[in-house]
Amino acid sequence: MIEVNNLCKDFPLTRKQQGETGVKQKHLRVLNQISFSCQPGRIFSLLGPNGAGKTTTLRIIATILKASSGQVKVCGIDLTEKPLVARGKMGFLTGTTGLYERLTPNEILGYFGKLQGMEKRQINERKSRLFDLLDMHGFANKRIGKLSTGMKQKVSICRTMIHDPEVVVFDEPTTGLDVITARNIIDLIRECKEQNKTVIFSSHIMSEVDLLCDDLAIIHQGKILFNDTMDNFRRQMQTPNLTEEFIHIVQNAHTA
Amino acid sequence: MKHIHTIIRKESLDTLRDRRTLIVMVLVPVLLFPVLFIGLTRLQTSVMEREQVRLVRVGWVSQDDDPGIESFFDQQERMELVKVRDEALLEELIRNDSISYGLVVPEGFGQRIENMAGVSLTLYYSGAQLHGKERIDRVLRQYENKLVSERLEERSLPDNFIKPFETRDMNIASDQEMIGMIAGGFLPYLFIIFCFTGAMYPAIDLFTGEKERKTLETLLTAPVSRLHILIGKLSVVTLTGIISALLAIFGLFLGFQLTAGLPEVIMGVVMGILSIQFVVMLLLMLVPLTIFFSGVMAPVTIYAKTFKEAQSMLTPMTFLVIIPAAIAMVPGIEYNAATALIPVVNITLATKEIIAGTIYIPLYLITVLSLIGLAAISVIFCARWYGKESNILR
Repeated sequence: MIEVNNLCKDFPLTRKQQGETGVKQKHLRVLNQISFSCQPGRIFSLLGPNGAGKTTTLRIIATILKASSGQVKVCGIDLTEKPLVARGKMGFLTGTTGLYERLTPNEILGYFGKLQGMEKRQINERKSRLFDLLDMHGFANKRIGKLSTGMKQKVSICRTMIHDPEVVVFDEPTTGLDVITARNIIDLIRECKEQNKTVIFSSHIMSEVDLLCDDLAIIHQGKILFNDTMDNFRRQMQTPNLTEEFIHIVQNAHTA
Repeated sequence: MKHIHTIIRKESLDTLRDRRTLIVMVLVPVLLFPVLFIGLTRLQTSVMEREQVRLVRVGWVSQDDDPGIESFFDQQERMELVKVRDEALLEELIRNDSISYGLVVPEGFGQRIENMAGVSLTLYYSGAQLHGKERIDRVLRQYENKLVSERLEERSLPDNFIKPFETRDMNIASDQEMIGMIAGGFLPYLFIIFCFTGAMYPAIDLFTGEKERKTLETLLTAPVSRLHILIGKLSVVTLTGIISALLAIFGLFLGFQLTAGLPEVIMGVVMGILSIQFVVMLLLMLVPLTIFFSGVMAPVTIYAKTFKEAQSMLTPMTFLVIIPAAIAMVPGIEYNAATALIPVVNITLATKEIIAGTIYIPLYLITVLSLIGLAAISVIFCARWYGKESNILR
């Protein structure tokens, strides 16, 4: 479970940036009092245009960034108090995640398994299961630099899932991927749901959201504009399709 | 500790598979000295051999009828006299390599010698030529000595008449001290450079490379503290710098072993220099220095967005290493309580003293402790720098 309460994030501005904004402020608020929660066995989608604050929110949840104020709990653990414990319960994947080009999938999974505190036997069992699942035995010992994009994405998935996390964070996971590779990710997200994991993913592709998510939050300029179930979103729609509705909500926020 | 060990193992493996790092860390330090020594020795031998058998042509301009000097030159081995009518032609002939030297013997030269009157010869040569004027100078000195001997003999005077006393040089410095003075400044300079360059590429690869390859976020979501990640990475950067310097020492040893014809005295002293004691004393300084280098390089590479940016920011830093190391080689700069505290300068001066066998241990300890202090400060600064998200996620 993920609980986000009154989360704020300020980024410091350089003097040059301060001059560009024209306003004499030392910080830029990119997240403003956002709150939502994600439940186990459900897929939560954070939808918003570019620069809305999706990645910042997910990075705070994944403990890459620190919140300026507010509270985030993952599996009941406060991130500011025990970030390392929380990290052990999470998997994080983005569409642009890189891998160590000079290592093999076997070595990468071994490395992250050890960092997750797993025993060698556990790592080997988990690796074997994931390699079976994603049909990876053929390239498990080839260096990443020699693998195709699809193969690399499979390795990224394994790396995210090596410690069987309770919570999985996907930041625009299909960005830049071809249809077949993107399909692997979609399957993974669904599988996580079936395994009763808490899943949060960000996207700006409405069709992807429509296909997968149970709960939805629309974020724009660091503020939550909508936060409810997908069914309620569909019910409250004032336009003929989801994309139009999303644009309508964002434009209304501008005029408000 | 377990996490640090895991990071060190992974980063070491990754580094060892990087061709660029391997070239700078292993290949260059191992091969530099053997190639330099063997190449230079061969070149020097070949130049000397060629010079020994080379026929020297001397352009001879003489208005004198005294055959004394001419026949003396004519008798010299591998020396040929080429009669030139006009002095004005000598310069051109030397320039187009027709002759090596030009000698102008003035009119009445023989007579003036006979009368013990002053007289001068004019010697044309090119200072830009490798051989200079060494060979013709030697012959002129021999002719001069011959004339002096003849004059002394005519007057039945002993040789001591013109040479009232001799000086016998008694150099009290041992061979080790002499080599320490000559090579003592040069060797640590090289080791320090290898520590720096050996650590530079891994520092860029492990910090900036992680950003550029977009693997940093993944690492930051693993349940490992940033301090542990930093210590793991810094350890590998430091280790590569030290390995690079150690390989340079090995390369130096190899170079001496492979160089044929080195005098036994030199070989004996070199083997003495490369003793366990020397290596341990050198490492006690190089380890904290390399940690300091890593601690200085890491914030730059953490801040840089790309490999290129990191490289362009680190390259000027090389001068910060080269300049103090070069300053320490200047004659007159001594190892004392003040210089023992200046990083890089202190290592160069201390190594010079260790090689010469004249190291003063309290000063050496000041150097080691000051370097440990600097290393600690740089790592603390680095840890704070790495803890700031605006630096690592720039």
